[in-house]
Amino acid sequence: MNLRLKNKKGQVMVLDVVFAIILIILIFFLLFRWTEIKTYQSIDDRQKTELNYISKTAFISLTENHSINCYAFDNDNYYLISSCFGEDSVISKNNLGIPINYKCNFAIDGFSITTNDCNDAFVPSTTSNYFSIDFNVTTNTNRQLNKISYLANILDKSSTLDEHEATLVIWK
Amino acid sequence: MIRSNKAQGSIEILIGIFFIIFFIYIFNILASNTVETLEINKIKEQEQEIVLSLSDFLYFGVGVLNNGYNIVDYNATYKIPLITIPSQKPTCVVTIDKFDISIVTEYNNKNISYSIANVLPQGSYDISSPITKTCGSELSCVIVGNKLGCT
Repeated sequence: MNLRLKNKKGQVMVLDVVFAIILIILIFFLLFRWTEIKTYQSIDDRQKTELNYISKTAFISLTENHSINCYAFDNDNYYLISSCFGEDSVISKNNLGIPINYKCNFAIDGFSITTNDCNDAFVPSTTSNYFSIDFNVTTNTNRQLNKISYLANILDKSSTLDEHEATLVIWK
Repeated sequence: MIRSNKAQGSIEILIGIFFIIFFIYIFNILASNTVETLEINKIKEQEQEIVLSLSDFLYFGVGVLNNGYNIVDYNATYKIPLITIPSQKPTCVVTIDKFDISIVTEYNNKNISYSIANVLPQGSYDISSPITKTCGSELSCVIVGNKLGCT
């Protein structure tokens, strides 16, 4: 009778240990799963941060760039006209600060720029992360504008510059 | 009969101790690997912040240069931040060359690196030889002639 009681105690102890081990293993599996999710999230965040940074830099370079946007000047001063494009604007990944492993597409609705290297084919359905921005721009045949007529255009608001909608898309 | 039971009990205890030591050993390795993975992620995040802010700093200098604001003197300094994680303060080295801005951090005898293509317009800066800086040191940039030069 005493021996049977001891045996039962032993069985209960063994079961306790087995349950404890199973619990520890489960907790570790949970921990690994959590770590995996955190790692994946961290990689994804880094990719998005990099894409945002490159896109922000490219957008600023596209709209305020002395070799892309229109300008007017006199003997002493140089006036850069933001978000204004000429047919002679030169758009390349280099002057937008876009690394070669990134792709870009820039288009102005109803207006074409002769040298535009930012013309990769963009398919939204096959691209997971991308930066896209639509914005209004002004256009002119030439980037160089006459200062007096440009100032007159600003003062009497009868701009001869055309207005169009542009789209910039950047992805990896 | 009693002796045999005692012997069996001792063997069970020994096996139990062995398993406990084995589990502690295995789980200790797994736990340290998990912590290491999380810390590497933290390092990579900080590396990215440093490289992107440094790139911003250089790009701003080039922007000042390109937009011709009639600057008489431009002198800017950027202090490269340190990388910190709970267990240690690893050393890191930033390198700027014509092609990349990269950072390498030494962590548990491993090199954790992050790099981004140098997006500065070519011809706007003077980097004849790569600039190497350790984290915590300063990078100074001046405009000389029509180029941005940093030391």
